[in-house]
Parts: sequence; structure tokens; C-alpha cells
Amino acid sequence: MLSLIAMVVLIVVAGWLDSRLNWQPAGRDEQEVKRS
Amino acid sequence: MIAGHFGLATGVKTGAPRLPLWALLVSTFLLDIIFVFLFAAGVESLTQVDPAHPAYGGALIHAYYTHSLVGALLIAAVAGLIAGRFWGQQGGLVIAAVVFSHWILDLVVHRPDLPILPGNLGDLPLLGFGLWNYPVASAIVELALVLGGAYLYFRRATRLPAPPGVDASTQRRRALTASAVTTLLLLLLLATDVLAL
Repeated sequence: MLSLIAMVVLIVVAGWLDSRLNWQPAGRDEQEVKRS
Repeated sequence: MIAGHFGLATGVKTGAPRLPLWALLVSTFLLDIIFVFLFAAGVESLTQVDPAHPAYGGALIHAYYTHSLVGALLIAAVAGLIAGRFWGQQGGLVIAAVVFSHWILDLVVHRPDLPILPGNLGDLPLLGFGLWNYPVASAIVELALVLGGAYLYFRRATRLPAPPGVDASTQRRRALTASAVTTLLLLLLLATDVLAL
């Protein structure tokens, strides 16, 4: 049961913290670098 | 195996930065999520090798649809198609691969309980390399997946540029917080599984 709770907390909390980071522009920059 | 699946998904995030981490975490566990519903419906089930002493790696699943080779491929394909509508073809392919990675990792740790065809059609041999017979080795493999994924995530997240309107120190603090909390939660998940809590 604790594993289930830990799993849900991981998905929600880690997912939220990750969404505050600037991943998407970094991806675009990389694409542009590769194209150039 | 639970935490190992999530560790792998966390590592994949660094190679597919446009995909949200939550989507990768859900994808890596999708077969088990569907299994829960089929378990509740009485279609699939779970038993313990030693029912008197449930322990880490002591499970035998009778998941002849979600955890069959062909069933897992079909679920991965459908998930990939749906994900592709949101994150493009490449994103869909990554999601499909992450969904199917669950079956590959299960193949390594499970005792032979994974069928090839849905419903175990043809009564073909069940698959599983049985690393769970060696709980310490299995836990070490899971720990390696967790620490490997967490390290890749930390290394990549702390190098991300700050978005407009956010200063560099705030961005770095956010990256360190996300890396540290994610690592901690992965280790907590591994601990609850290994200790059979």
C-alpha cells in the first residue's frame, strides 16, 4: 500500500517540479544547433 | 520491480526533453496500471510464491493479457499513437518504447510467468529470467536503474537555461530541487518495495 502511495506521489510531485523547468526551449535550441 | 521502471523513465527524459516527466512515468508503468483494472475485474491475478511470507520479488503474476509479449506491444503501439497526437511522431515513438520497456525489465526479473500471446493462446512456454530468485541482485539492478536515471536527470536539468523572466539562480534552485526530490522519491519507492511495505 505504501508503494502505491509513493508511486502516486512520485508521478505528481516529480511531474510538477519537472514542469517548472525550462526543457522545451532547450529542446528547440538543440534542434536549431543541429540544423545549423 | 517498481522503482527500476521509474528510474529508467527518468533517465529517458533527458533524451526526450519535450516529453513531460509525468507522461514518461505513467508510460513506464502503463502495463501495471491496466493490470490493476483487470485485476479488479477478476481477469488477471497475482499470487505469492510463499503466501505466508510476502516479500520483495515474491510475486507470480497471472497477467495473460497486459503482460503477454504481443499484448504489451499492442498497448505500447496504442499509447504511442495517442501520445503522437500530443507530442509528435518522435514523442509517440519514445512513449511506445518506454511502455514496452516495462515488459523487457519484467522479463529480466520475473519468474517464468509472462506469456507470448494474449490469453496464453497456444499454451506456449511462459517467459521470465527469474532474477527475483536472487532478491539482493534484483535490488542492486533496481538501485542502479534509479541512480543512473537520477544522475542523468540531475546532470541535464542543472544545465538548462533560465527562461525569460527567471534569473539564473532561481532556475538552478528549481533544477536542484526537482533533481533532489525526484531522486528521494525514487529511493523511497525502492525502499517500500524492497521492504514489502
